[in-house]
Amino acid sequence: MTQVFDRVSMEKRSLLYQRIRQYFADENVLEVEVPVLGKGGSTCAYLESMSVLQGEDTYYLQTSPEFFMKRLLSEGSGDIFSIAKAFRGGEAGPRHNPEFSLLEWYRINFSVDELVADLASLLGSLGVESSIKRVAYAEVFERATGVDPHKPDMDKLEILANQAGLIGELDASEMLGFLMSALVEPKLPPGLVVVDEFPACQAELAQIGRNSNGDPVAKRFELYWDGVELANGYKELTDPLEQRRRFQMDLDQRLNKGLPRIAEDKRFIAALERGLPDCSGVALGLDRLLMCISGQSELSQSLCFSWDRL
Amino acid sequence: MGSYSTNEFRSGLKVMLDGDPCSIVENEFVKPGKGQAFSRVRLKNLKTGRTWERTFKSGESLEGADVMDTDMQYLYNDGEYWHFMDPETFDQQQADESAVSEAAQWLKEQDMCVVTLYNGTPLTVVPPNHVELEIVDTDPGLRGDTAQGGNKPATLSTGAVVKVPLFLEIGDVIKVDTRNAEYQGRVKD
Repeated sequence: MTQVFDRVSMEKRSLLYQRIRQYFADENVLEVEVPVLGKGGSTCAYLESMSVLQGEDTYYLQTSPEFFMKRLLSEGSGDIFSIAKAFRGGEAGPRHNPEFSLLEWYRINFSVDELVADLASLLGSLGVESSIKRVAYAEVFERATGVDPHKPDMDKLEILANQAGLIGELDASEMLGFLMSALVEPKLPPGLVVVDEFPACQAELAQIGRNSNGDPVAKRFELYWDGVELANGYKELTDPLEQRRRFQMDLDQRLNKGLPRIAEDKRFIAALERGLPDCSGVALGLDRLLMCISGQSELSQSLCFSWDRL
Repeated sequence: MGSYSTNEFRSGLKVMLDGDPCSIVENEFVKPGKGQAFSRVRLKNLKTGRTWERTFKSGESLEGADVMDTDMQYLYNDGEYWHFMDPETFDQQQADESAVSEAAQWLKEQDMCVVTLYNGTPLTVVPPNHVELEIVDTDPGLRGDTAQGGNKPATLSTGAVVKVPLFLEIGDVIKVDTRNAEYQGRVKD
C-alpha cells in the first residue's frame, strides 16, 4: 500500500487555503458555505450529477456550488466566495477526480476584464505569478487549425479531427472542444494564459456578446497554466427566460443522447426571476492548482485519497 | 466476441481496430473545457507491433478481438512452418515466418513458448525469457582469462549470435535472456 499521509503536501494545501481566505478577507468578499447535496442537478449533457436516494427522493451531489451561490446573490449577499467539494460522475483520469475541491467566487458589477484582473491578483497573493497573457479563442484556434471557430468549415474540421485520430461522430461544439484539446492546448503559450470570447455554442451560463468582428461570442474565459486548464469564468447570465431556454436545450440534448433526465433547479430559476445582480463569477480547481504549484503531472499526487485509493 | 465501450477499456484488452487485432496499452480520460469527454487510447497493433494513438468519443465501442495467449511446446520446423503443441489438449498449430519472426533464433525443441492465437491461428510467438543453448561456433577459448571483462561473439545451435566471455568454447551450454540477447551464465552439466 502506498502511504497516503504526506505532511508536506497537506501543509501546502493548508497554506493555500489560508492565503485564499486572507485575500478575500482583504477584498471584503464574504466566505459562504452551501450544501453539496441539492434537489436539482446539472442539466448539462456533459456533466453527470451523482445522485443519492433518500427515502423516495433523489438528491444530487452538486457539480459546482453555482446554483446555491446565485440564490444567495439574488438575495443581496454581495461579493461571495466558497471553498467546496464538487462532484462529477465518471470523470476519473490523470487530471480528473470525480470528487474535487473548487474555489468559486462572484463579484457584483464586475466585467470579465475586471474579474481576470482579480484572478491575477489572487494568484499573485498565492505566490504564483500574477501576470496573465490574454488571447481570444478565435486567435489561438485559428493559429493552430487555420479555421475560424465562429464560422467553422465543418468539412475541414472533420479532416483535422481524423488526422488527430478521432473516432466517433461529433456535433460542431464537440468538434471544437476536441480540436481545442488535441491541437490548440498543446500550443498555448507557457505560463498563465486566459483564453476568452468562447464560441456562442459553448456559452454555458455566460452572457453572449459580440467580438470586434461582430461574431456572437460567449463572455466566458478559461485560465490555463502551462496548458493545464485551471479555471472557468463567466459574465453571468441574468435573464431568466434565456436561462430557461438553455436548460430546455440541455434537456433536449440529454433526451437525444439517451441520458437520464435531470430535474431543472426550480429555485435557481426563481432566484433569476427575482433578479440576479449584474456580476461575474469564476471557479478555480484547487487540486489542479496544487498539482501545478508543486510541479506534479498527475492530480492524484495532490490528493490525500485519490479515487483509486478510496 | 462482444464489443467494449470506452469505460471498459483497460490495458491488455484485445480489440479490433481498422481490421487488425490490437491490445490496449493505455486509456486516459480527457475532457476539454466543460464539453464532451474523450478517451485518449494507445493501442498496440498485434500484427505489426506498431503503436497507434486514437481518441474515442466517450461511449464509443470497439469489437473484441478473438485473441488468446496459449502456452505451447515448440516441436520442430519443417522448412516452412514452425510447429507447436498444446501439452494439455495435444492440439497442434503451425506458425508461419511472420508469426515467428525474431523468436525463430531462440526456438529449441520442447521449450515452452507463448503462442498468441488470433481467430484460432498463430499471430505471434514469444520464446521463454531464458533459454539454454549450445555454442556451435566461436573463437578458441582462452583459459585462465576469466578475470578480464572481454567478450567475443558465439553462434548458438539455433542460429542466434550472442556475446559471451572469452573462456567459453564450442560445446559449452549457456543460458541466455531472450529479451535482450544477453549471456546469463554457463550451464554446468
